Amino acid sequence: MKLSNTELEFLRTSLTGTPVIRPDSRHAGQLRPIESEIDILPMTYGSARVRAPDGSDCIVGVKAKVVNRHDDLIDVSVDIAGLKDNDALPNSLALVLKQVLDSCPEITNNALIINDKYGFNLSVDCVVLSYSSHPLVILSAAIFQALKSTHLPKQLDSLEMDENMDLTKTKTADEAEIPQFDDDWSQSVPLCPEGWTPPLLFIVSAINNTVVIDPTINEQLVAEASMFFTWKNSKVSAPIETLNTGSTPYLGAFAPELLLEAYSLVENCAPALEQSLLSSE
Amino acid sequence: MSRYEIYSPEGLRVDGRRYNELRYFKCALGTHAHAADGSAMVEMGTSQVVCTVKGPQEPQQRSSMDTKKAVLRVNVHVAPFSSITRTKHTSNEKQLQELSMNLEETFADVVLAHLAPRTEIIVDLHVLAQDGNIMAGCVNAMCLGLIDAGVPMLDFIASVGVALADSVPLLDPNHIECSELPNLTVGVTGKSNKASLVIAEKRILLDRIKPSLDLAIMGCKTVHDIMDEQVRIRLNSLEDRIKR
Amino acid sequence: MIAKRSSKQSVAHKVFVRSTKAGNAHKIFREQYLRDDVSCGSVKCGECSGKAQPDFKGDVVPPVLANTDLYCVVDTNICLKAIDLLEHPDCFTDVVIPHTVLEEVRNQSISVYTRLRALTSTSFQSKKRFYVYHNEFSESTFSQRQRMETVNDYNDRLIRLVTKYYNEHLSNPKSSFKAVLITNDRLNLEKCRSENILAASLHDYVTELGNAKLLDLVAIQEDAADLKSKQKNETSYAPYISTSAVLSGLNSQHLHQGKLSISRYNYLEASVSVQGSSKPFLVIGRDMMNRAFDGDKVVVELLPKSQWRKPLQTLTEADQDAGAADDEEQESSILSEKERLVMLEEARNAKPGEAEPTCKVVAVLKRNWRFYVGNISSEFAKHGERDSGALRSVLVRPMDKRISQIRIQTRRPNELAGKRIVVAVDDWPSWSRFPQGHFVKALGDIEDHQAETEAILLEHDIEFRPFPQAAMDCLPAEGDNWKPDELVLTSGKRRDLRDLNICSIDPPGCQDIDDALHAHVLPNGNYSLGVHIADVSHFVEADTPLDLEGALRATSTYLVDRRIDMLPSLLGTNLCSLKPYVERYAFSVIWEMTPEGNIVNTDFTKSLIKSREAFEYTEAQAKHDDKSQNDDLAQSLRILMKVSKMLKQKRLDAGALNLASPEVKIIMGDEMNDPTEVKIKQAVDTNSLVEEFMLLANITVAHKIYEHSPQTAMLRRHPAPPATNFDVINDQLRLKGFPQIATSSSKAVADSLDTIVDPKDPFFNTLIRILATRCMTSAEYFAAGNFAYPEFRHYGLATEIYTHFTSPIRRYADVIVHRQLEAAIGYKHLPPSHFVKANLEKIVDNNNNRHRNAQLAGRASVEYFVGKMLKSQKEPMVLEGYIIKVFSNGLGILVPKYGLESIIHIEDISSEEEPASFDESNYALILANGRKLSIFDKINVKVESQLHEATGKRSVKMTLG
Repeated sequence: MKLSNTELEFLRTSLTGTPVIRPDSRHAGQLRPIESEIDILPMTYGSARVRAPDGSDCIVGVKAKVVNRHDDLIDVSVDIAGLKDNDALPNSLALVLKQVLDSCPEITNNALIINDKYGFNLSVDCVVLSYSSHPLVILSAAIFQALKSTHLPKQLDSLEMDENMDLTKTKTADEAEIPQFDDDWSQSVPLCPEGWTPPLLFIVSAINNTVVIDPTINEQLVAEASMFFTWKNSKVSAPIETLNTGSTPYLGAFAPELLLEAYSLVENCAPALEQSLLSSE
Repeated sequence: MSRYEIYSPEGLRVDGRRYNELRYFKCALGTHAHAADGSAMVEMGTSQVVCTVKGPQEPQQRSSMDTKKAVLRVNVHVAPFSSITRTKHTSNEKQLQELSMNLEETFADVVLAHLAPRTEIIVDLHVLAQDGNIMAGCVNAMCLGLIDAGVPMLDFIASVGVALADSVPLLDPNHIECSELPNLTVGVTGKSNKASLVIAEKRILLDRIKPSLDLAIMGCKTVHDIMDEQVRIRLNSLEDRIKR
Repeated sequence: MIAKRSSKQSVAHKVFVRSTKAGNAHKIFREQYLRDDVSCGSVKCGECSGKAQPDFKGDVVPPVLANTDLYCVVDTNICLKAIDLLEHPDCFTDVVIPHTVLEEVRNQSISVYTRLRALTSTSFQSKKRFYVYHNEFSESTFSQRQRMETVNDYNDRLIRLVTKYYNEHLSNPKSSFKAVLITNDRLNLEKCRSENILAASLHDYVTELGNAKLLDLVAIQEDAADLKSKQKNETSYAPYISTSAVLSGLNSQHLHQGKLSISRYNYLEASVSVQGSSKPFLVIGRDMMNRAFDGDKVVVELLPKSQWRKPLQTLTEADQDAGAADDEEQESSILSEKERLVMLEEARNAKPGEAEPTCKVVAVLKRNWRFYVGNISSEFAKHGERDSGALRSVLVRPMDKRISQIRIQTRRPNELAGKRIVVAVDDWPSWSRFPQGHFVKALGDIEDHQAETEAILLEHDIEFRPFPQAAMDCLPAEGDNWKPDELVLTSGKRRDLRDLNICSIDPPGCQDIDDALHAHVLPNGNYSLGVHIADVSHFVEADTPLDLEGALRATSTYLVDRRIDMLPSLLGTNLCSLKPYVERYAFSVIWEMTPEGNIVNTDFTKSLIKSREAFEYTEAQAKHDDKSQNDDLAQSLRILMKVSKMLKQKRLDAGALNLASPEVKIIMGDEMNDPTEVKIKQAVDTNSLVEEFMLLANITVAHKIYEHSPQTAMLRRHPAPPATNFDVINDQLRLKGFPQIATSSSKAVADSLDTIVDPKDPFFNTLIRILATRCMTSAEYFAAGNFAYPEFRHYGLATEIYTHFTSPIRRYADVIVHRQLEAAIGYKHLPPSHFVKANLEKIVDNNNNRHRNAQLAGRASVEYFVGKMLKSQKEPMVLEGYIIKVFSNGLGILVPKYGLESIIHIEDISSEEEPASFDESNYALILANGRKLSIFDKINVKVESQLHEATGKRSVKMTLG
């Protein structure tokens, strides 16, 4: 629904005043509540569904296959209902999310490695059924949940498999064995190492001198700039990038002091979200 | 020879059903109430299809407007993780386009489009898990989605697949049966005894179609009853809410 | 009809990981619907039959298990290893096969599965009552797999649950009913004991029955552990490498896979044809073959170049080292002393530069084990002596020389000595010198006619049991009184050709008349010529039990004294057979041809015909030649003859090969089954008349069906042989000063063969043709979609496309072709199973195999009868023979008169003091007296029949005459 110029101006004024008044009466550093379910798709290795009250709804399914370990180990795809495959939004989202996951050695150097030659390729496929504000936030929450629930087939120890194996022969990487897996799914191993949680992404928008976290669609429209922040290993970390949220009339930039403020907004609310997602399991 | 005994001499199928048994069928309306004007979810065995319906609404593109009736547009999305091996589907894939067209044509007969001229109805179908042919799941989900959106319709369309193991028709085949056997998807409007939709994936002998159709029509009626039940439940909950 | 909905409570889920060959893994999530209406299948139970649900046809499966006191529940291993016992009429009368077991069996052996299924299709009145209990779909016996439980443990537990269920379900205070689990798995037996479930090993169960003969049928198995400890010190074969090592090896191409075929001349040499290598890899020696059998699908590793070798030039027959088995206990190596000497000699003779790649077997992917016919080696048992009754381990020597001796255990070795017996192979552990097997049945005394014939059939895997009842039920109910129905003519699809002067021409005594011919002059001066083929597909509907049985048999097999039919004789020799004077359905191909032999029109139609006469070849020839006869049939014979000669000339001009193989005919004397005479078959012109028209019909049909089904048309191709196949024979011809066989095309081969003549010896040309034939590849069936059109070519017949259409009574391929032609002319729809290429490929493979086996069996039968005929001669005969192969220790001889082929062993023509020398480059053996025996030499040989002590096999012994 398009807002008139007057409405936009009113919104902008109320967001930049003191105290900041957000249309849904949140304070600047408050996230909207989300709802999540995990393991909704038994055919996948891990899956989750996350919904926000504005009607945003997304489903993430994770699958894995064995590949040469030097190939890409993580693939991310995003499909948004109503947008074409070649639309910029799903593709840029997929790129960003892949970048975030690629920079997690906790998984790429760990559970995904099978042996010298082989590794698992993890496909994280996101389906956005609907969205109103920028879908990055709920996508990251859904991926968080899906990865937490992901298990991979357990590799069989080659020695266990065949007692007659010729042990005297040393094997080069070329001859590295094709892995064999336990047929028992209940033996499958969790993707995420114990105690480690996948990254979460947050959007902060700047309107004049105010910053608000998790902007609604209307807030995004009046924002001069928006950035997303990655929360990983209990701290804000790279990538942190600006984001085009479609607020054309007010193009502007993120002032450095606002950046710091945004930083602390994320630091303040991220642990709570993380905790609530974990406890929902 | 097949890996499986598709239909054992004792009369049981690969998953333990008899020839005339549907898989566990579950459906719900209004599953995505905030996301769209109408929504529904259908599970047939491990198959899962979600439907969201927007409209009747002002067309996004004027060019696709019809001054006489509402335009029905269907997009089918097959999630990459929906099959055993991950496969990425693009929406311009021939099969998906054909599926969309089939759905549009099938529902053109029951949707009372002339009641809302100059509008469009957009149906998004998301196949989240496929176990067997996806057509039947799509028809059922779309039917419920349209009902949930309040689109005026003549009647339900209920759909179910049937596969042929030699001369024995197997109702609601799963993916093992579908991959081994020729199969049909059949749709029935309301409580009639006539198939309003028949799609054959492989060649089927003419003289074997009759018993398959009979069984499929019976299956559609059962599906119709389950869906009807859910529609009434949804209606009651809406009524309750209005009363409150 | 009612459609039922399943409730949520009834669904269980199976979640597991399936590994693929390429090393990938998929999570599989499958639904399993649990039911309360799975019947226990027993007549004792009133409860289950009340719940039984009708199937699609409205039938309810009736209870099978009878009102007896003992039901056996069997596990997978028992089914796989003791299927013969399960089929035995004296034990296992009421058997429950848990579905879990059936599925496992199906995954491991389709043939055992088929046999099990055959056992289950019985009723409670029959002698054997087997019932498949779908335990995993029954609420009473389903159980989820537990954490950390292996599939095997899980399956074992499920089977125990079934046993428990039957005991509880059918228990009755008044009866002493018991269900017992039969398993050889020690752990499972123990668990049964602790869970209080009645269980017994196969051995214990059979012992309980108190039948010593049955006990022999029990595979060694239980004692394997003891045997292993006893033989621990023996040098053993290299263990097979793990599956994952095989997969990665094949992937990285340092391992190769292929089918092992062991040389017929030397059981120590085998070859493996691998993809991507023009020459097959040699496998030399038993330790390199590493327990692989002929026909096994194996994985091999190439040996270093330093160990590459020439193929062996020595004959080694297993029966020469009969002594090897005696001192088996002391033997510490796999190779016997004799074998070692041969190998050593070979290594010395090997010349550098001519080496061929050699390899060793590192794993066996798929065993080609079948039943083996043999006899107990004489050193273990003496016929006529009394058996002590104690279990003894003996070696069985298979008739097939390429197969190793097989160790079995028996309580009555002396009783079995001197008999042809059938054994099955169970296992070949790496520590055992010989494979282990068990006794299956005795066929009868060695040299007994019945036993030897059955042995030939078994050895060639030919199904000769009577047709199953289900197949017989598909025959027309009228039986011999069946009459064609004239009404079919009104439909317009079948044409009335009863007015044509049709006749058939066949060998004497032919009962299954596949084909008949007609010819007459049309008003416009052209000829109308027709080939009419028995309409088998009218009687054999696709996918019926009769069709499946035919598909399995694939071909009729002709032995000297016996014919094994592909279809029941009611069809083969009566209803389908185009007998004279009666009306029969036929499938006709009719051409209109100009007098010059050009086809102007071709027509295919189903028809109703009435043959005027069934000629023998010679009768037809006589009628043709007899100028005084001018009736319609004589005239049509003359037209047919004239056209056939034109057709033949055209074919020869195109380069069709006229090859030769010595075909002999055995004349049987009296009822004693003793042959009195052996003749080489003589051909008259009418043979070739029929042949030409059959070829023409086949080619015409091939074009038609290919046009209609380009993917699934069943065709026959004959690939051109690689030029290297002729290297040896051309080298031999060059040495002898004869022209070479040109190999550039079939025409070149045909033309050059005409030039290789010895003016002094008219047979020489035929000899070279026989040998050239052996250099050819063999023709094969294929599905059209699997090859590009240029590869369809039939090299021997010089035609670009070919199929088999003309003998549907005795070849299954023709039945398929008939159905495809029916579809092509719009007579009938193609049955759904015939659309599927994969399906057709299976039929093609089976046809190719069975066809070859039937031919080999026919040859073996001739060989046996020739041997018998020779035996009846008092004096050894001296006959003319040709040297066709030269080994360092023997000569391969062909005797044209009887089509006999055998070997002269060097021991018989030389001695230690007077050794013979082998001139390898000149293909010659030089005797001590200076006599040079070289390739193609015509020599006199003394031929006599010899009964081999160890194998009990009668064969031809040849010495220099």
